[in-house]
Amino acid sequence: MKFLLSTLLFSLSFVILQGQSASKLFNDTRVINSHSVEVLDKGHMDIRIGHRFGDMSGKWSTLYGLENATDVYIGGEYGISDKLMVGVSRSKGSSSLKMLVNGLVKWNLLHEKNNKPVSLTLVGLATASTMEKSSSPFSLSYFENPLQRFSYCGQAVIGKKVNAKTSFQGNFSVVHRNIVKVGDVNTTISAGLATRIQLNKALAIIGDVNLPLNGPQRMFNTGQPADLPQYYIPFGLGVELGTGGHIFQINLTNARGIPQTDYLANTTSTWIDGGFRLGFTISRLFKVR
Amino acid sequence: MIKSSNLLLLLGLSLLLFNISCLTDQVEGDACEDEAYQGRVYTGDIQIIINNKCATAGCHINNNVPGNFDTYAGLLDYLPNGFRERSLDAMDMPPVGLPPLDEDELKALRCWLDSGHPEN
Repeated sequence: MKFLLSTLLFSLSFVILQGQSASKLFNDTRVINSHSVEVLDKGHMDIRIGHRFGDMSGKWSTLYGLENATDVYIGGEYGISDKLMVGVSRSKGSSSLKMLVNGLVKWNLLHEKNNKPVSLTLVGLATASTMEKSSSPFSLSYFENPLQRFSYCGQAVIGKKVNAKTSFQGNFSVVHRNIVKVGDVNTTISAGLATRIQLNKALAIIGDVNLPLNGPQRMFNTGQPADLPQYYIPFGLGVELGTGGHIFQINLTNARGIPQTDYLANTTSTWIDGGFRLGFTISRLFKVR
Repeated sequence: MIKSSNLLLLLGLSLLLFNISCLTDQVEGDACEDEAYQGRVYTGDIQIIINNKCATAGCHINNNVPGNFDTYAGLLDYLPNGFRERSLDAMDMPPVGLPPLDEDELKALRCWLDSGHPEN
C-alpha cells in the first residue's frame, strides 16, 4: 500500500506547472469536511477557526448540541507560491486520540484558471496526538512507540467548474493510522465528492461526502467485528458566506472530527439517529507579503 | 517562486519519511475509548440516566432518601466513590424491584466517572 501511494503521488508530481489566473472553482481551501482543489495565493495567510458542536439528538437538554463540542480547530496556513501552501493547526480530536497537532502541505498541479481542462491538487496531512500516555497497555494512547502517536493522509483532488455558478470535485484519499484497535485496519482508502453552487454574489451552497472503501469503515459493511463500533459515511451540507476578507461557513454534518486523519476513518454517528451536528468555520485572509 | 525540481525533491523526501514513519500496530482497546462513550458529560447526557434511574419519585429527589440527584450539585456529594461503589461495583442501586441500569448505561457511567465526571 505504501509503495502504491508513493508511486501514485510521485507520478502525479511530474505534471508540468504553467499558466495565468482566471476564476476559482471553490471560494475556500475547504468544502465542509473535504479539502477543495484551491490553495492560497502567494503571500496570503489564512487564520482558520472550525467548530463542530454536539449531536442534535441531545435536543433541548444540550440545546441541540450547542452546549457540547465534538471538535475545535484552530490553525494558520500560508501560501508559499500560487500553487503551494502549508499550514499548522491544533484540533481537539474527536476519536480515541486527542490533542492533535496537524501539519498540512497542499500542492496545486493543474488549475482551470490556467486554461487546463480540470483542476488537480495533492494534499498531504500528518497528525500527531499530543495527549498524555495512558497507563493501560490495552489503550490506544498507551503509546509504546512514540510513532504510534502519528497518522497521515494523502489525497488527490480533481475538480471541474461545470458552469459559472457550479463546481464539482472528486477526491481519492488514503489515511494511515499507526495504531488502531484489533479488527480495524491501519490504512483506510476512501473516495469523495463535493460541490459548490453559487446562489448570489456572497452566498453559496456547499456539500461533500466521503465513501470509505475498505476495512470495517467500508460502505454497507455487514460483517462488523463485535468490538468495533458501526461506522457511517461522513456527509455534510452547508452554506458559505463570503464577505471579502472573511469566509464564513455554517454546516450540518455527521462527522465529529475536522482533520481528514480524524474523521475519514472514525465517523460513528449517523444522520438517521440525530447523530449530526451544527458546525461552522471562519476563515480570515491576510495579505502578508 | 519555488522551482519544480525543488518541489520534486521535497516530495521525494516526504515520501521517504512517510515510508519509514509508518507502523501497522494494533491494540485491544478500552471500551471507554469508543466514540459512543467518549466526552460524556453530566448535562444532557449522564443527567438523563440519573433522572430515569436514580432521581425518580420516592427515591433520590426531594430528600426522600439521602442524596438529591436531580442536580449536579446534589450528586457531587457522592462522586465518585460513593456513587461508583453502590451503582457499579455492588450494583445494589437501583434497588431490586426498580428498573436496573442496563449495560449501556453502566458503561456510560463508568466512562464518565473515569474521565473525572465532568458537568459540561
